[in-house]
Formats: sequence, C-alpha cells, structure tokens
Amino acid sequence: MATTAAAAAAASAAEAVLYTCNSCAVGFPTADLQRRHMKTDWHRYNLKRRVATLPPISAEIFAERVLQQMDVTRQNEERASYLSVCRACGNKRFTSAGAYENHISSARHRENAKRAEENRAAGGEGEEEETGSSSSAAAAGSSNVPQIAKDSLAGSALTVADAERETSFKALSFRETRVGGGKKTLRRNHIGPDAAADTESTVSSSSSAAQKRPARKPQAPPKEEEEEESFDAEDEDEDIDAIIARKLKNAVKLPVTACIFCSAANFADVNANVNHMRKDHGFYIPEQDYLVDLEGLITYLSEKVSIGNACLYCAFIGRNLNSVRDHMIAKRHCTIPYDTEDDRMELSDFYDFSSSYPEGYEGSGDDEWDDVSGDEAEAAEEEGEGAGKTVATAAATESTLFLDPSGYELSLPLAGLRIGHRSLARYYRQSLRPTPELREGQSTVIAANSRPTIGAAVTYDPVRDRATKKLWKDQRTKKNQDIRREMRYINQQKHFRDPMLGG
Amino acid sequence: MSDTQEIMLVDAEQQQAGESQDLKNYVASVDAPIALKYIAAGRIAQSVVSVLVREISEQRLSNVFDICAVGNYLVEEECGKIFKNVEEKGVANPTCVDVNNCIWGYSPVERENAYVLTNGDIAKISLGVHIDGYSSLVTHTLVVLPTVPVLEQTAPTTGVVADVVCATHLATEAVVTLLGTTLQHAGTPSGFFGARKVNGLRIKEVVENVAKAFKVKILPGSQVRRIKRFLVGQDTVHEVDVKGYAWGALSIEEATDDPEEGDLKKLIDSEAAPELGEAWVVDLAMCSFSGLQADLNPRNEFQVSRRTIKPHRALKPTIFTRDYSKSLSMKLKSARGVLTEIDNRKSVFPFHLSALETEGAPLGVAALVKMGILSPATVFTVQGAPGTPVSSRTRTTVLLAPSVKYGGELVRLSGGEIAPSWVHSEYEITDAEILELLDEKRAGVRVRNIGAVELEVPALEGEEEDAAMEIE
Repeated sequence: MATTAAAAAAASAAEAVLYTCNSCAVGFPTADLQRRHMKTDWHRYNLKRRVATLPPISAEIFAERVLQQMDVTRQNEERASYLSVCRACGNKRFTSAGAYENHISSARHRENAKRAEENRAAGGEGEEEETGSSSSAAAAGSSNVPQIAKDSLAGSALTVADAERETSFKALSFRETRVGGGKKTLRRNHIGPDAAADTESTVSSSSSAAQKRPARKPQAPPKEEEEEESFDAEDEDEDIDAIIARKLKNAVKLPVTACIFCSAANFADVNANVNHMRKDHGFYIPEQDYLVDLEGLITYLSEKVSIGNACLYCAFIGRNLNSVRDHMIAKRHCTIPYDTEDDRMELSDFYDFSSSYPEGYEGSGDDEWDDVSGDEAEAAEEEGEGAGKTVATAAATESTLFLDPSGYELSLPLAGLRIGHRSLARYYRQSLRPTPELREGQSTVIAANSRPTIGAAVTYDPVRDRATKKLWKDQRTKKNQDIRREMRYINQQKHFRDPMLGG
Repeated sequence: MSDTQEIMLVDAEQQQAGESQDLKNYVASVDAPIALKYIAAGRIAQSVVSVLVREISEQRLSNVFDICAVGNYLVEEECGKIFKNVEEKGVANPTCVDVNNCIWGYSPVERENAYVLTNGDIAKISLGVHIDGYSSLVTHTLVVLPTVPVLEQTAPTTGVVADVVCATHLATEAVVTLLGTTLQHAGTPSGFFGARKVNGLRIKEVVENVAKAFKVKILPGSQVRRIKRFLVGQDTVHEVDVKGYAWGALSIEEATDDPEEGDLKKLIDSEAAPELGEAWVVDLAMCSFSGLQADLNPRNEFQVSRRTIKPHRALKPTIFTRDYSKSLSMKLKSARGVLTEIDNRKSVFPFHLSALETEGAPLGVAALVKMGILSPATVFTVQGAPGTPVSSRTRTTVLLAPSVKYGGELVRLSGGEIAPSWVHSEYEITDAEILELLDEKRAGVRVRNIGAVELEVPALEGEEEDAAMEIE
C-alpha cells in the first residue's frame, strides 16, 4: 500500500498537488489517497522520525528496511532455539552455532581453556565445556538477559548514535522502550559491591583478550561500533563485555565520605556527607527512623552514579560521572524515588521495619498471605509504611487489622484507632453537628406529614437556578421589546385632516 | 356490672403484669399490648375528667386556672405510675375549660385574670392522655350550677342550653353505636347498619339528623375520624389517609366554607369504612342557632358558617404544637432553649405554655410561633349576629378492639359512664334508626365503657381525699 501511495504521489507530482503529507514529504491529488496514506506503516515510521527531528525517508528505503528487519527477526527466532555455554570462559553463553564456533577458535578461548586445564589439574576437579540446546523458553530467557544488560550499559552510546545509520526502524522503537526501562534493568543486574566485583573478575579476562585483538572493536568510536554492531549476534557479547570493562575501568570509585552529586569530598563521616547533600542538593533519605544501614545505602547510591552513571531518579544514563552529575543537578534529580513498590524494594536491604509491626505479628502464620486482595495490599501501602513488608504485615494480622469494605479506612488494634485515607482528609477534619436522634413520636409525625419539609432540606440546585434566572431574563426582554414596539407605533397614526377645510 | 366489665376495670399496672387469666383471654389478640396502652390512657382520662366534674359540681374548684392545673397535674401524675419502661407518655391535650360560646383552647396561664365559673355556665372540659402515643381524648360538657349540688337538683336545665347539650350527647352516643356496628353484632352483618354501609357519610347523616331534631347547628371543626399512634389530628400534621368525616375541615384553623380554598377537605376519606383494630375519636360541637340565614354554611344547612367562629379578642393562645416539618436555627437564646426542651422532653402533642421550664419561655415561644415552628391553638369563640350563641362539645374515643370471646367489641376508652348534666329539651328525636342506635340494646353492639378510678386531688384548697385507688 505504501508503494502504491508513493507511486500515486509521484504520478500526481506534476499535477496540482492539493493534499500533502508533511511527515513523508509527499503530495496527493485526492483526499482519499491522503487518508489511506496516513494509515500506512511508512507514514507512521516517518512520524516517529519526525518526532525525533530526523528527516523523512522515502518509500523505497523504508521497504528495504522492512525486509532487513524481517531477516533479523528470522535470525532471532533461529537463535532462540540454540544455546551453548562455554564454561572455561566464565559460563559464557552463545545463542548461535556460528558464534560458538568462532569463540572456540578464538585466541581468548584457547587461553582460558588452558588456564582452566591448569586449575583443574591443581584442584582435581574437572570441568568440561558443555554444549546443548535447551527448550526455547529457557533459551529466550537467557538470551534476553545479556541483551538488556548490554543495552543499559551501552545506553549512552545508543543515545548519541546517529539515527541515520540505524539499520532498522524497529530497532529505534525497541531502543526507546529499553532505554525507558533502563533504571529497572540496572537494578536487576544489581551493581552492588559484590556484583561489581563479580563483573570485574569475569570481564578482566575479556578485556585482556580485547587488548590482544585491538583490531576487533573496543577502541572503535561508539558510532562505528553501533553501525557495525547491527544485529550481528557474533560480536554482541564481546561488545557488552567490552563496554562493561570500559565502564569499570573508567569508573571513579566514590568513598562514602564523598558527595554523590558534586565534587565535594573528604567529609569527616557519612553523616556529614549526608548533611551536605541534604543542605546543598536537597537530598532526602526517606523513612530515616527505620534506616539501619546508612553507609550501605550511600555506598549503593554512589556506585549507581559513579559506576553505572545512572541518574538516581530517572532512567537517564550518563556518558560518564560528570554528565550524570550535571543531569541530576540541572533536573533536580538529587533524590531517591520512593513512590512505587519497586522503588521501595530496591532499597529494602538497608531498612528494617520490624519495629513498626504490631504485636503478635511473629506468631501469626503466613497462611493468610494468599487471602490478601489487591485492595487491601494497596491500602496498606497507602499508609506510608514503606517497604513491601507492610503488605505482609497487613495480611498476617488480618484478624486484628480491619479494612473498611470501601478500602478507605483501616482499624488498628491499638486502642480502637482508625486510620483514614488521606484523600478524605478534608472530610475527617469537618466538625459536623450531630444529627438529632428523633424519638418515636417525632419520626412518626414526620413520616405522616404530607407537607414538604421546610428548612430541613433546602437545597441549592444550580441547574434549576440558572433556568429560573433565564426565565426571568426572557420575560424581561420580552416585556422591554413590547414596550419598544408600542413606543414606535404610538405616533405613527395618520394625522387626521378634514378634507372639507382644504389645503 | 358484668364480669367482662370488671376485667376492664382492673388496675392498669395489674394489666401490664398480665396476671389475670381473664385478661389474658381478652388480650389474646394481635393488638393486645396496644389495646392495653389505649385502655390505660382511657382510664386516666376518664378518671381525671370525673374528678374535675365532681370537684366543680361540689364547688371545690371554680377558677379555670385551677381546674386546668389540677387536670394537667393529675394526668402527669397518673401516667408516671404506669408503664415505667415507656418514655413517651403524658398529656396528649392540655386541660382546657371553654365556657359558653368559647369552643376551643382556653387554658389560662395566670390565676388572677382567669375566668371563674358561675351559675348557668356551660363548661366544656377537654383533656387528653397518651401512653406511648396511644391516646384517649375526652371532652365533657357540664352545666355549672354552683348554687345547687348535683344530687339535690330538683329541676333540669331547660331552654337552648338543654337543646345543645342533648344534641351533642345523643349524637355522640349514636355515632359510637354506629361505629360499633363495624364489628360483629346481632342482626345485620358487620359493617352495615340497617341495609346501608357504615362510613363517614353515614355518620354525617346521623349527626345532622340529631342536630336537626334539636334545632341546633354543627360547628366547623367537628369531626369523627380515625386516630393513630401519635396522630390525633394535630394542626401541624397533614395526614393523607384519614377516615371519617369532618365538618368544615380537619382543623378549625383551616376551616373554610369554600371547598376550592380548603384543599384539606380532600384529605379525609368519607367513603372508607371503619375496621377492626382501629381507634376513632368522635368530636362533636354544636351551638344554638339565632335563625339568621347568613350565619349558615351556604353548602350545608346543618353547619354554621366559618365566619361565626372568631378568635377571642383578649385571650392569647397558651397551647402550642411543634411543627416538625420545619427546623430552623433560632437567633434568640430563649427560643433555642424552648426548642431544645420541646424536642427533648415534650412530644408531638400539644403542650401548655406553663409546662415549659426554660427561662423566658414565653418570649422564645413567641419567636418560634413567628417562624412557624410552633403552631398556636387560638382561643375560638362562636359569634352570632343577634345575641351570643351557646355551644356544647362532646368528645369521646373508642377502640374497635378485637376480642377472642366476642369476635370484637367496642371499647369506649373515654367519655362513657360520665353522666351528662340534667337537662330537658323540648325537642326529641323521632327518627327510628337513631332511636335504635340510642336505646338500651345499642342495636346489638357490645359496648364496654372504661370506668374511672378514684384519684387523689392535689390539696389546692386544703382538702383531703382518700388516696385509695378503688374500682368503681
């Protein structure tokens, strides 16, 4: 359809072009054609490019890219059913046969294998490389993980890559979504102290291998790297390793006494540092009463910034520490996100909420856990209790805690307190007159009375009020009109003249 | 006195305990507890009225203020003794003594300016008692002869006074019997008297026939109607399903000769027949007629015009009813106090001004009346063009009680068994139907009168009475 539209557009170029598409820079002779064009994938792609302030591409190039993308999809599917692992090189996974064979023949693998042989001889434990194809589901899962990890770390490179050199428009949209979820994937990979060490150990070998093969890629500028990369599965994993290695190598290790957001360092202790961050950058640590590992929290956050170059608050991944610092200060992102369940779970290792649990929580079993409805969990969360453990609390002590069916009020076991939802605060603050309790006689008489009750329920109805006012206005207008009409005709009577008098 | 009557006369407290086996038989019906409350209220009303009549006849009470005070005191006192677990009980209608052409609402607040009964006055003593909303209302017309003790009276009162007293008394008795025909009675099937159905229109016909025979006219405001719990025809309540018949309108205040003007007329259903288990009030007021045609209602020659009834010039209303359809916040402190007191302590029935304890109550009441939250009971008088007419009023409450033994019987809660004054009219009833209603057999209807019990009169004039409560 896209091609027909384009052909039609080309054919009618000479004629008077009445209808155009600005996104695709084409014209149409009729409105119908234009409308049909708007529904094409080509138009949608160009629209996306336009949003990204890129020039439109012609229909032919678009068709080529679509074909290319179809190839890639097919390859991916093939790859998905294949999985092989190289134990010698740190359980390295290969999703295609070619990549695995390449790897086996590579100098790096040979070196690793030799080293492993030596280790095995020393430890007396044999470890052979294993190859096997697993079920497609498992394969899909394993192939996804490194891809996302790569993406999160190589995000900056992708971001700056010139979209002109992109291989497929699908990759564009795909990248967008993945960058959006960058924070999440970063967390999943957990660049904590342990994880970082692990990565370092695994990557060190690859980096050394990379040094031995300088022609291969790490030194290549990001643009070319991106271009070369395309969707070639063979080089993918090496790229990721290289990026991680580079990141780790370039990473500035921040001590706990150094500010996360600026170059200020050498504070006396963590508290002084936190004080500085709070005063100068507005950095606030939530739920300080339950915070048990301040040092760990600060270490975690500073590693996230210094090694991952990730913004604390949004999904932004900086090119280096300075860029992410600039971003956080400029955007006022010097804050810990604490709104969603995921955000809280991320930091839950540093907190201990057990002191806030009601008595008897330990005793009650987890049997009721399954009974928690979504509403209850949500309401419990609303109480600002913080980490996901609150949900467990609410569930475990269901017998003592009672949630109103509406989900807006929670009864606490302590002294019959009731907690209301904050969205209803304005109603709780009201001090209404108590409704008079009617005696039997009074209610009987009121019920028997056929007259409308006056004073008790005088309600203001804006609609009725407006209608009444309009009626009055109409009546007034009509009256004035009548008066004016009368005035106009009052002197229009012909002057009576007696014809007998002549003249 | 029959054995069944004796059962009825058992002390109310005893009745409440339900000790008597006969009583159990009697009350083994759906509305037994309700009937007990009605009967208890009726007994108190009867007792208080008979005490007042006796005191007036024996010249111990003559000041209207005293009469009203004693009446209200006795009602409250007696109600306090029974049905201890019932909160709402007491005065359903403050004691009023309306003299001569005054027909409604005279109950003074000051003793000094109050009317003192004199020889030849026609005094209409009205009061009402309710227990848990089940009310008995009573009005008795008494010809005051202070100089001659009742028992030593040698000659009856005659003249116009005798005519109106006879007419109201006989009309009331006839209507009571007519209501009783609703129940199972000898001869005709229930709900019928003669060959015709008993309903509001039939009652109207009987009453008007009696009035015609005695050449007196019915006053607007007269009514024969069904009453319900807490609903006894207060001015402030506009009920929708009222059975019976009302001359003029449901209340004197609203009465008008113009049917277009008085929409309330439509509220009473004259076609509906009385039914078993209902309580009815028969409230008939009649006055002498001067003969001037202009004083008559143009649509009903047996009824005087609304124009002949006028508020008294000097007497201000002292009885008020709370209108629960209105609730406004008052600015005046005493008004707020009065309103709170009424809502908390008084019920939905009319109350007397002197029953309020709030400081500055009259001021507050005036403000509330102005806002329409309280409805005053205006003191009305009958005015005739040549000379002042004489008026009489009789009110009685009956209960069409279900009975196991007799399949239903008419219990005359109040107004029975109190002998009318000795009067002799020169006219007499000739209508055979009405005579049948009035004779000893009462057209085969079983009527039980609730008798009065002896009450101790508070020592107003240093008099001592026997405190013993005995069965009459």
